[in-house]
Amino acid sequence: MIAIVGLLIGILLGLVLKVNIPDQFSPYMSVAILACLDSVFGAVRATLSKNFRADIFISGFFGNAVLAAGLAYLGDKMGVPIYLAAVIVFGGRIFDNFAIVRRLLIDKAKSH
Amino acid sequence: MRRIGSQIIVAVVCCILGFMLTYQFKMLTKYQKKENVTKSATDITVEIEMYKKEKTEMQKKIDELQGQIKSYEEAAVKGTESSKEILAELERSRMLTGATDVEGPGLIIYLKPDTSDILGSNIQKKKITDFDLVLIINELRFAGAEAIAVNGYRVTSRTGIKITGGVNTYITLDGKQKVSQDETITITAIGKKELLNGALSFKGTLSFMDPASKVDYEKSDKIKIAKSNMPIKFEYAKPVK
Repeated sequence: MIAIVGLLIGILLGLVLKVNIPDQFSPYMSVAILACLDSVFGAVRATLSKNFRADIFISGFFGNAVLAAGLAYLGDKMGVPIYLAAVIVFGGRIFDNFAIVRRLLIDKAKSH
Repeated sequence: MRRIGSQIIVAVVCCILGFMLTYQFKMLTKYQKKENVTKSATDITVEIEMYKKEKTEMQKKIDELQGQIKSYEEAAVKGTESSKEILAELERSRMLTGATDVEGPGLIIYLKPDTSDILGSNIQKKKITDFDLVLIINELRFAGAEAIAVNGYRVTSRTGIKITGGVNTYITLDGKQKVSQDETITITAIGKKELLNGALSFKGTLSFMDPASKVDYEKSDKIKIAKSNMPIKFEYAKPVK
């Protein structure tokens, strides 16, 4: 619940605030966002299976984002599209997490 | 207590995620708007074609009108000796300003840029610059060239030669004629061909050129140089009475 409130506040901030992040960081931002989304899905799954730990969530959220953006940057410099690795891994994990979340939710609904 | 703390942290993290998402959305929509403004390449090519056609048509018209002027002049000078003199004077000043096609013996110079591509490496090559052109033209003038053209474009006393800025630079004459730095540049000069040849072959004359670019020149007995299409106007300079 509180997570959704935070998300809404963030969206509002993004709409209202005029922060200038240089254009050339835009592609890295995309990869970082993907990593963050993966972390959030992982957190949702963990909450449902009742083994959520805030410290792991936070470290995963920032660590994944930084690593993904860093890899994308490195790939850019080397001419190898490493960001594809990040996209595939995080994309696949988002779907995996979603599948587990779905199963947990349906099981919960049935048990009631 | 711990639970509340962790929930607040989750909220903060989600807040950051939301912010990043909306920010990226805004950026991307901004880019798409920008892209829509620019015309497509095909549109631009069509437009260029149109303007080119228009230009040739106008050129035809100019030639026609100049022919008419000539016939008027000839009609006007019929008879009297003094008016014939005036016509000859007029012809001479036309040649001086580059307003007539001229032909005669002279020198053809080919400036070949450095095309060697060592192992495909894209090293910053030293290209032929506007300075090279200016210095060569100056050299030719000093050797008594009467008419000079670069890639067929007549160089008159009012011609300015300059390089453009940006990534894909090229040399421009009067801001009208585009001279590519990656292709062979041809300079034609009418004058005493031995003198012109001697001026360029004199040791050290072309030392300012990059050694990688090649300069070839050949004497020719018949060079034709087209007239300049730049209108010559004097807006500020007035003769002193």
